[in-house]
Amino acid sequence: MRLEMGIFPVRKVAFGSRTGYRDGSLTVNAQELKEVMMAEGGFLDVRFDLAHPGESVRIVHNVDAVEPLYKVSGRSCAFPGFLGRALTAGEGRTHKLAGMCILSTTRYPGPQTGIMTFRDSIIDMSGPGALYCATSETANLVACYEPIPTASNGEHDAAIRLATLRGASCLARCTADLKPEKIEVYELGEVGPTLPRIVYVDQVMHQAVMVATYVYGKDLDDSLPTLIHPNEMLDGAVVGANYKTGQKVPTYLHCNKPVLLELYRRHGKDVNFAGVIITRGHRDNQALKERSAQYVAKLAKLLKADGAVLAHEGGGNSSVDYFLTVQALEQAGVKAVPIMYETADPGSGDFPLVYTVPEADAIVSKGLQGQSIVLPAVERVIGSPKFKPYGGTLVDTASSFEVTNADLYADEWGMELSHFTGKDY
Amino acid sequence: MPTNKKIRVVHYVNQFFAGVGGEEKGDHPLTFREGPVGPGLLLQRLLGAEGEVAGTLFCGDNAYAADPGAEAAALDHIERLAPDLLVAGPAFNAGRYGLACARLCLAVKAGGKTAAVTGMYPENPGVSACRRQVHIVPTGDTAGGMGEALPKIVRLGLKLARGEELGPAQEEGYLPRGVRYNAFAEVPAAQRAVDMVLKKVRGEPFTSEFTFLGFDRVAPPAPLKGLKGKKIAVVTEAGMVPPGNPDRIPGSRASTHHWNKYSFGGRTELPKGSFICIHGGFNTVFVNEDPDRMLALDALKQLEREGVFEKLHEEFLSTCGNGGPVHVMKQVGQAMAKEARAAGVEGVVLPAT
Amino acid sequence: MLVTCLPDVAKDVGANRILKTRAGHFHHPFGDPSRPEASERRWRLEATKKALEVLTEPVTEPTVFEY
Repeated sequence: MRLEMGIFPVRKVAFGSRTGYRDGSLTVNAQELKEVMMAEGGFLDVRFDLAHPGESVRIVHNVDAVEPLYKVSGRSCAFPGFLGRALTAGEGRTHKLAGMCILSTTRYPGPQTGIMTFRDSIIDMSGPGALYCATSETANLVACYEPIPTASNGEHDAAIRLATLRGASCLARCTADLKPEKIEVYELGEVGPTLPRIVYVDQVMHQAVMVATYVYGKDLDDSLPTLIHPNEMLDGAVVGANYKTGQKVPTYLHCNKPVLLELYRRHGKDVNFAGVIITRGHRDNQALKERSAQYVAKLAKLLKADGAVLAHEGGGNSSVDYFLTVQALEQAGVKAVPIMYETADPGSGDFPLVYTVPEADAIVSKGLQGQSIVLPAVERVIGSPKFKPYGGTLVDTASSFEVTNADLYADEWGMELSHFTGKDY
Repeated sequence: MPTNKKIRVVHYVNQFFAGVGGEEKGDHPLTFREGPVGPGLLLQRLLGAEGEVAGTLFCGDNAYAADPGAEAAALDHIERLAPDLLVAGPAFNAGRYGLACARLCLAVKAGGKTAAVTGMYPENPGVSACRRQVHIVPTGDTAGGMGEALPKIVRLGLKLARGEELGPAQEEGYLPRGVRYNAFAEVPAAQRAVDMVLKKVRGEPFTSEFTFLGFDRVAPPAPLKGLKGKKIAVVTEAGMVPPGNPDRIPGSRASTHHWNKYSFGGRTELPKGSFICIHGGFNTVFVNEDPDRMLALDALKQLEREGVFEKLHEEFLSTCGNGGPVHVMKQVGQAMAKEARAAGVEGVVLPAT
Repeated sequence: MLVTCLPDVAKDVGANRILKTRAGHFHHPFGDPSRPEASERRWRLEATKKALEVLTEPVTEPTVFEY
């Protein structure tokens, strides 16, 4: 399986009469884009706005962020299962508007309970908060969706997800006949037999509406851990629909998973990238968590893995699934290194995890949650003039206020991208 | 504080390092000498012009452990000498010596006037006795490591005495205290993780980036001698509250005041809507359908009627544990325990999610 | 004593008397919506009885009982 990824770096997005890409700039005909995105209906309206890195802009009501992909050749489309049949992706040529996102923002029309709650989040495009947000360094075309008041949250969510993916693919299509600035080739070619075989175990989050992850258009509700080729993920086979603010993995990151890219970078040099196992956390009870962990270890053994690097999306409950998986891998003879954020507040001296196992003797820290940050006042606001942090009180979005890092959009990933770690003092 | 101020140091050693004698002199009482003694001579040399060993306290290991007066006397001397820094040990792998160093450092730090530093082998029991509060330089397991340990102790001790900001434990050379902060790494987590898994696969040494010093352990209370005549309460962290959530208990990351007691209101079972679940970490639909799935009031009331136990406490205590920091939840738990005890409760059933 | 479907976490944090119920789902340690109502009530009564009995069990460290 060979994927050529044609890179069209986007540093600037602007509105204009004709959609087109030139020299790092994307011009967007907003009316055309709106028609494409509204073609299947399901929501009342969509408005667009722009936010670039370094600007004094704060975006709230954030849902997903999608880096535009368009399939120039190959059997599948981009975001297969959503924009076309679930044919195996990851082959042929894909064009990417790299370094930009369509960012969806909305409010949900129906009642929200328990985990099935939309947790609001902040993206600051500059200032101290920007360091913690996952999409503060991308040029963002923000799509603000207006719901149909009588729609259920699930219906509204499905409609705007599809519209955002369609919009993203439509934008990238304008590069179809252009020559990419560079072409990245992704192929798990034969390598020397002595290189250690390393698998990437990607534990994503799934519980219900608002806490979902999709693979080829279907959520992972009753799924078993399974194999997926890294190229399929690069082509948008995994789509994020988890709105747990800090924990969430936007689709943009599912297409740019740091461990996946790192293993590809080193494939044939000092590792043999043996494949990706995708699994969900938050399984319903102890028995199902153990079953899932055993499955991951078994798949890793079938891949003849010597080692595994694991990534985690989720909270305390899914950390049980995660560390049981580490244990199962180690017991099966596969050396495991999980990457994890720390749950103890900075300086508290608390135990840093909800759950761990003795076998987890090599954990990489991507920083601590509970970091207090004072956000400055901003010049411009997108999404809503009011913001309510999870469990907090309503504030003026444009004003200066204090948050913890978990209020910032996909902060666990933003922090990872900013090289955060935890250290003892 | 001007940096050229000479740091005044008091040094603590045991009877062996003071040259009094070995195991047979373990009962030697706490003694004070002006100036450096034993390893204190090297300590003074390393301090050079930056510090002065004003005096040395030494004590037999058994005496320090057995006689509370020894520590009190040591603290009296320290109060009188008013040093900037206490250097204890290093104790290497000597267990009782390590514990004495730990206790003295803790007591001196608690006084708030004098900085304290010690050195020990990481397995010394003195480490777990004080590592969260006291800066400990890791040493070898025998006195052969003196020459390596003391320069590190001096460097760290001078910083502590001057109130300088310390860097991360690994860079400053002290044992992790379990006090963690955000910091930046040279390379991203993915790269560090692949590096680490390769070391693991190749059998090379690697260092986990997490520090686990363990949860506090609470000794189990004695079992109830039968249930007859006992008063039982329901306590939960599942975010069960009256409709409307009058105390605004958040669905995640509760604070210490985010708990309350709620009356069952004389009910014998909990119909839909009598209490609601505001926990933000799971699907609350099933519990909101039937709150007894969490609080089991129907079953407890029946067992109370049958005389299995005497009385169900009329109020249940509730907080939301979702994402709750341990130090916060510990305080909530302590406050709840106090409340339950005051109400004469002898046993608690705590449904948790 | 603590009632849960996730005994490993309870053990890890040092709860001493733990009852693991087979409620099937951590959302409701004293419920099992897969059963008909009368059967669920009977099951809860037995689980609650067991929970109370756990209070009378001598333990020296975090210990998991099952119902």
